Amino acid sequence: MRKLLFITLLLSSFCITNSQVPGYLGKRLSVSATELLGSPTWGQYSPRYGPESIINIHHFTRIASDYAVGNKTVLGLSCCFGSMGFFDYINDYPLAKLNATAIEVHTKLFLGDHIAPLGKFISLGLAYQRMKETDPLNYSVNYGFKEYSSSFFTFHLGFGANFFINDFLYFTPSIETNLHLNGLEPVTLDDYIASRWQVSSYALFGIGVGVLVF
Amino acid sequence: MMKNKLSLLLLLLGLVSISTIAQTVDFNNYTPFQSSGTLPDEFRTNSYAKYKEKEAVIAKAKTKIEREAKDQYYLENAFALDNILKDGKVLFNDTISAYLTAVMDKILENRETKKNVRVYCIKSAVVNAYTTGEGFVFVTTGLLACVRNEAQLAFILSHEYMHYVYKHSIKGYIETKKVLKGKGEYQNLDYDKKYLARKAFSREQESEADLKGFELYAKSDYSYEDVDSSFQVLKYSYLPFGSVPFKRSFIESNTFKTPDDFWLTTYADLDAKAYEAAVNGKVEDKSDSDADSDDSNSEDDDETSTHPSIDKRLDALHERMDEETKTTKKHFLVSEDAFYFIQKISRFELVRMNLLTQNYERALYNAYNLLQTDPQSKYLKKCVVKALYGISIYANSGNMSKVHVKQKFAQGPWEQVPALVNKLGGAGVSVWAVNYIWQVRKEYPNDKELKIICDDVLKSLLKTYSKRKKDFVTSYSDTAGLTTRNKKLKPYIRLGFLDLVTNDAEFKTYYDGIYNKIIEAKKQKESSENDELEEVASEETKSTKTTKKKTSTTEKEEETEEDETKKNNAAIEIQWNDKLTKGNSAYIKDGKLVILTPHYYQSKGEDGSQTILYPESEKGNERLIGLLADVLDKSIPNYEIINRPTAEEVQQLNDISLLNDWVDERLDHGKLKLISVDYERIQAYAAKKGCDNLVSLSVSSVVENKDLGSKISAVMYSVMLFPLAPIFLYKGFSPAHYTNIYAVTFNFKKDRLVDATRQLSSVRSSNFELKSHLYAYFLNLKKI
Repeated sequence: MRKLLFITLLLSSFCITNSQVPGYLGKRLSVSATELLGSPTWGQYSPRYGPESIINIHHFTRIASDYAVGNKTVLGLSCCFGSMGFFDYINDYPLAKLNATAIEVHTKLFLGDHIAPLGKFISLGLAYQRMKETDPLNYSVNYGFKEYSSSFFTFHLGFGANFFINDFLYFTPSIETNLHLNGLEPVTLDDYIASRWQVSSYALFGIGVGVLVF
Repeated sequence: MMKNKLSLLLLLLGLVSISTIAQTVDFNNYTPFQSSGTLPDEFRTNSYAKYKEKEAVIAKAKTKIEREAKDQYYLENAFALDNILKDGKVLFNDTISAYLTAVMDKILENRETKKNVRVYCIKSAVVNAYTTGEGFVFVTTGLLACVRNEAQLAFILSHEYMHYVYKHSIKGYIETKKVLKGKGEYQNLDYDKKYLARKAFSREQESEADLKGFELYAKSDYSYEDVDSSFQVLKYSYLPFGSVPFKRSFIESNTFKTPDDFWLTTYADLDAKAYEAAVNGKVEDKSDSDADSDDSNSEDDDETSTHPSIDKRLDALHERMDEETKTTKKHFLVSEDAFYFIQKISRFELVRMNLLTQNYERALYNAYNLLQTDPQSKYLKKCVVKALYGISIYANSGNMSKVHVKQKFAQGPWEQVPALVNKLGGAGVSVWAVNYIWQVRKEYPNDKELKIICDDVLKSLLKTYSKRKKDFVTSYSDTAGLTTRNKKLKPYIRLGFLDLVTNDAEFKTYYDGIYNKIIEAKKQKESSENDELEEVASEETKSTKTTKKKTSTTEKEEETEEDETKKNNAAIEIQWNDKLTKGNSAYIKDGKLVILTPHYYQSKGEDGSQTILYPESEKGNERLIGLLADVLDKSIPNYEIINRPTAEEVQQLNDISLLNDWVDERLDHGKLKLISVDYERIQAYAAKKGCDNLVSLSVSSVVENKDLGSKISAVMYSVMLFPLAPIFLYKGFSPAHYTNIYAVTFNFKKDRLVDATRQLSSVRSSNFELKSHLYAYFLNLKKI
């Protein structure tokens, strides 16, 4: 059974990489870097710092490589580094921060009559994400107790477009949202020492630059 | 005085060149006439630049509607003119145009406007001459083949010149705009009356050109009687130029004997009115610029005609003639020899054009006429061969009606040809063709083209009609057994090759060889469906089931015939993105690709109508060529883009003409597999350039504004689903963009269409989108 699965995988990989897909002037592989900024949100916060005074900001950097496997489809792999910062805007003071690292497989489905990797697309991704909290005021957090980190799977849905600058470079504005498959709960202790927030879906606005490799 | 001397010198030089070329033209091995020398200025200037030159003239317009109409006229005219000048059909620096200019000079003498008038010969089978607002007079080879003397030509040129002098072209355009917008006297007219008003205006212009043209003509020394006869040329322009009776001996051999009732004893009288009645309802309205082809033969004015009736025009001129006195009467002033030389070239050209447009019966008759004076001409004999070849292949594939002229449209001795073809049917014409081609092959044994044609006809005949080899070869003593064999074949067909088989061992071997190949192919078909030869056989056998029925029931009711025709035509018509290329992958993969004059059209759509944006199209064309080069570098690096030529590249324009003719002809043939009329020249071109395939490609970019309904819907949805308002408003108000690529690919060696692709996409025609789609197209082409 495993052998069969392996052969099937091998064959489909061979077919995908050897199929005659136009890409953009024959170039099918691209590498891109995208800066993603989440919409600021209120609430959902630990009573540790008092309610209603905190804003959290999501910020990620994504490095991705995309490969056009069809006229309309791109498959890709990306790494995402980022943080969710909690900021006391009344006292102008940075609070706890969640550092995130994610690995994602994604696909981009190009819309209308555009030929991948040019034009508008819908992106779908499945990421494995790990988050770790840092907090200058919290001893437990800073010492990396298990309760203050978490791993989970998240699904993303996005919309974007690749605009070419020349035959090699392009920029990509995008908007996406994360849907957590299992909610982020790095804190199990329900007390005033640790964070108690829960992460819900949020919108990310991104702008990226890509380069066509071959 | 100095100017006159110069004109005289130029005229003399022109005539010297005519006589020189006359000596060099070998009518036995005639090759189509071509342009030479340096490209004239008007062939090089951009269309937009030509339009911009008219800005001052446009600004002088008195009213807004006139200004708009003039602006649009000069814009459209500049681009339309360029399309005529740059597709290679207009001859320049050639004997014919030099002669036409000499005749025009005779008429114009010292007129100031003379320098503005340029006369060119245009390769077209239509009997016509027309003038543009810029002073270009185009005379077709069809007209030159029909005029009987120089004076007739001079009168036609006088008439055309007056169209230029009185600015009929632009006046007609402005008047049309006024009529359509219902301005001035055209207010409150319904559609029909507006239509008739436009035609009436056109008739007035024609009458004016007649009378003023005659005044000009009368000042020259050309004879008056030729005015009348030039109208007769127009009146009977639907007839071939010759009227030699088609002799039975031309087709019959010792055994290929046709029944007596195949031969007409009397012909239909020449009657233009009867002809018009026969085609009534099938003649399309001609545009105003399509000026002088005669569509007005009836005695009374047809309200829908652009021209007054011939009789009316003549009556008006006769009145004027009576006022004039003529002392000298000459048919020729420039040169009688030159005229007949020009006429002969035009007639030779005309036969080729008949073949290119699948007017095989007319080509056959025209070539037959010319053979009476040039019986040794290989060119003419091969034209006869190609005409018979065309009829045979079309008929055997069940598409006879596509190339056959109905007898009711033919008059005089020419009527015999369509009557005979109708009686003979596909099998009869094929037997005649093989008999004739074999004789010509004997004369020119090394001619590759003749061999291919002969093979094709015989294969087509045997595949279509034979059940046994003896279906076409039998003996007289066997006549008793005729009824027991292929009953659908008449004895004159079955005995058609007897003479050749009996007396020509070479033919017998050849015939047996082809027959055995077909049998072999049939056997192979049973074992392998992919055999290409068998595929041909299969297609043709399918279609010929209809043919068999057709040949035996040629006088069926027209309705049934039309239904069958539609069915068969559909079988050979090319469908976009059709699988034409099965088994042809090798053609594209490694060969050199030629891209023939790519075209870019930018248009704007609104309320269901589209307007071509000419300046944008011209700029887009330059952009497209740059993008194509980029794309081809990365996809099919072995390529050449044939673009419109520069000053010194006249041969390139001749090549464009040849290739355009080839592309048009191949598209007409659709899926039918027969070699093209210019097969030898095309092969020579391919060998010279080392190319294997040709792509004819055009890109159309359309920006379509949304209609009112879409806009209202967008607003309504926005109100109902407020959060999604930006999307609805964007979709409802922003114009839609379309970029369409149309491309057909031909293989030189196979002389065949191998791909017809249409890529429609709703994207903007930005450089990147266009490159992306063009690359996808070429990649796909390599895959086939």
